[in-house]
Amino acid sequence: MKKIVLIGFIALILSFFSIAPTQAAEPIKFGFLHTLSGGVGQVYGVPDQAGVKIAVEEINKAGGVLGRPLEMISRDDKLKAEVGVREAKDLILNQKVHWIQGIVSSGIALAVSAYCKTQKVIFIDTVAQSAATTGEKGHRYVFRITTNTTNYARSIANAAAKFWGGKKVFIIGPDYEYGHRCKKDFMKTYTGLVPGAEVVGELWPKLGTKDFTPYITKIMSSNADFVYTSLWGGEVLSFTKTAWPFGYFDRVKMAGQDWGNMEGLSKMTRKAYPKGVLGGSHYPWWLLDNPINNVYYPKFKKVTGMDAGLAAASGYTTVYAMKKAIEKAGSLDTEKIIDALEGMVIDSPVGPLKIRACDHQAMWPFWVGPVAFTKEFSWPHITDAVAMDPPDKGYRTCSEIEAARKAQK
Amino acid sequence: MKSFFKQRNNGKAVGLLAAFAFFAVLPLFIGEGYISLVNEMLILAVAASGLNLMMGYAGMVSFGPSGLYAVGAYTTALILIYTEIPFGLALIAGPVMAGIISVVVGWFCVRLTHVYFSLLTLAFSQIIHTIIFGWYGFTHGDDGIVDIPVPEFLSSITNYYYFSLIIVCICLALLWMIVNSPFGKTLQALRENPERTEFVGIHIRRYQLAAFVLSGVFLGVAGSLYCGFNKNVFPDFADVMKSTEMLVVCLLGGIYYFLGPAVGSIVYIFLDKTISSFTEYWPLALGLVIIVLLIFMRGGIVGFFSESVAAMKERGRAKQHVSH
Repeated sequence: MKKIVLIGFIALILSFFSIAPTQAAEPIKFGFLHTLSGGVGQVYGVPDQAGVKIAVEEINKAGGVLGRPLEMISRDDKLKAEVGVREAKDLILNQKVHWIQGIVSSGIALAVSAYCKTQKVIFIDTVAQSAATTGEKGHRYVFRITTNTTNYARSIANAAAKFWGGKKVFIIGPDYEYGHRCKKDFMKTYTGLVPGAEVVGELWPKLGTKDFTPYITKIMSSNADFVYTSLWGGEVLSFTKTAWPFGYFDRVKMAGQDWGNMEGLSKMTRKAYPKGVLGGSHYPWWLLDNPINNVYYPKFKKVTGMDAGLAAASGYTTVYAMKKAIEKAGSLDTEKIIDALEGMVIDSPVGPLKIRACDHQAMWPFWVGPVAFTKEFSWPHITDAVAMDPPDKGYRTCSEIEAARKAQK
Repeated sequence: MKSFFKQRNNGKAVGLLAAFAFFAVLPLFIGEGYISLVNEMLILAVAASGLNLMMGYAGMVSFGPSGLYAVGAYTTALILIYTEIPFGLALIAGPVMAGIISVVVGWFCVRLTHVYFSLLTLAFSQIIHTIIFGWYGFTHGDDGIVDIPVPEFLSSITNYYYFSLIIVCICLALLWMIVNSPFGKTLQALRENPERTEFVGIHIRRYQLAAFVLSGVFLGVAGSLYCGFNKNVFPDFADVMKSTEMLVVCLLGGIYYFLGPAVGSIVYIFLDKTISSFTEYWPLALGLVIIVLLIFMRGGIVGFFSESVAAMKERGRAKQHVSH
């Protein structure tokens, strides 16, 4: 028995060496680094990957880039920073990719970005939202083609002022840096729009809280005009389930950036959903009308069987952005590609997007609107949404970015 | 150092030198990307061997080695970003700090035994994780610390590889001396039968605390080395997942063999890396491999091979006997 196990084990290890990837005729390789396993992977990495695959297929069918096909090399960062950096090294040093795109965790994005800077390889963040990645920690080799946290807070504040405009604000957010930063950003924009607005109460449940009952009763007994929340992910679902039986959503106005995401809402039914909450969405394809979107979202659904969420459009857009930049540069020279990307306007399912030269942040809009059920879908979604106009207003200005970078040093 | 070789027969000494020579010439044959991976294996080997001093030799199963690993990593990282203290000193400060924290944590932990001991170590590592995660102003919380300044000559992967190879060898040699010293033998006696050991006049807690602290220092070395190598640190270094990884590495290699954890590190990282580049269902594949290894190779990989070699020798001897 032991011999068989031993032989089997050695054979298994040898088999890993023998499977060499088949080489097509000089493809342009790029790395797709994302969390692909676990719950986070299912929600962000897998849809992003599906979008990228669609883009690669479309481009290769149409003749590739500079006459060469694109080849995507996928790696799972397992939501661990050390694995992310390990895989980034593998992609750059062993696979010799021309750029890396993807990543959901802001910490991993910062680490991979720092590594790509030392290797002078382009890294494009397509899901992670920390404003620092293209702000304080930005550099020549990092880009972001999705929104960031600054835009979240500003767009929500903008919508809250437009829809309600009360002066007494209640805050509830996860008790760590992200939650506190969101409060600061939100209040800064909101007091600019509604002078005299103030925080009348704040609650900071710890990250991962499941039972929100004490928080909900406290909020309902406050006399605030509305609540701003930075709760996100699984907490949106737990909060909603707990709050619904209290009649919370009929009595309290609430706004939160993560409350309009298709990923969270698609799991909810008419029995408990954040009714009337002002939620945000990166890609409300049901509200958009442009030629790329009209073709893309049905295709995404057909290929993957999933409805497109926030990560579905950014990776797809990024591949096309790189195609355009490489063609404009006329070569695969990284420096020339960066020059081409800076200030470029790219086409995307959310409409034309400018990639700002000063911080390499795409001016991706963020739509905010009340969550409701319509006849169209079996899940609640944001309706008649507003976005910052122009989208640049959702982001820090170039001079603000410059000042923030200087303050870091 | 003399006793180090004296205790070994020549065959083993030659084997160790050959292993060292193998690692020393490795960069001539494989690319930097793979060297980086081997470097991770070496660093994990120190962490796991350090943990095994406590687990395999002293029989104290810790569920929280990642806490001390993170203390080492963060100490070095914070010194490098906030002060002008040179890299070498920052690197030494990591294990020193891990040692100091181990004294405090260990003082409480050794008062408990078995599963209570394990759970308390887990609790302390969670406390360390919470501090790192929550103290954003100082530790940068969940963003981690990136872009840590490291001297120019160590920023190339190959140079850092040689640097860590030397440190790893020193650490393993020290650990070897520790486990073969009277102190090490006492720990093993303690593992086998604490009551009897106490009757001989051994102060059990004092020995356990010493093992805990020594183990913590080596975990700290690994953390600091990793910090300098990757130039970034993250709260998940102190996470339960990281502790589990170290425990699996020890079990995989064999906790009753000195080189078990080191071999476990090599195999674990190799499997982790290769399987996940072929399939998205890597946790399934890795889990299956680990189950097979644990069921059919109870003594870990090293245990399995040394048993096989012993059995083969035995058979050879038996055959000789018959032919005579």
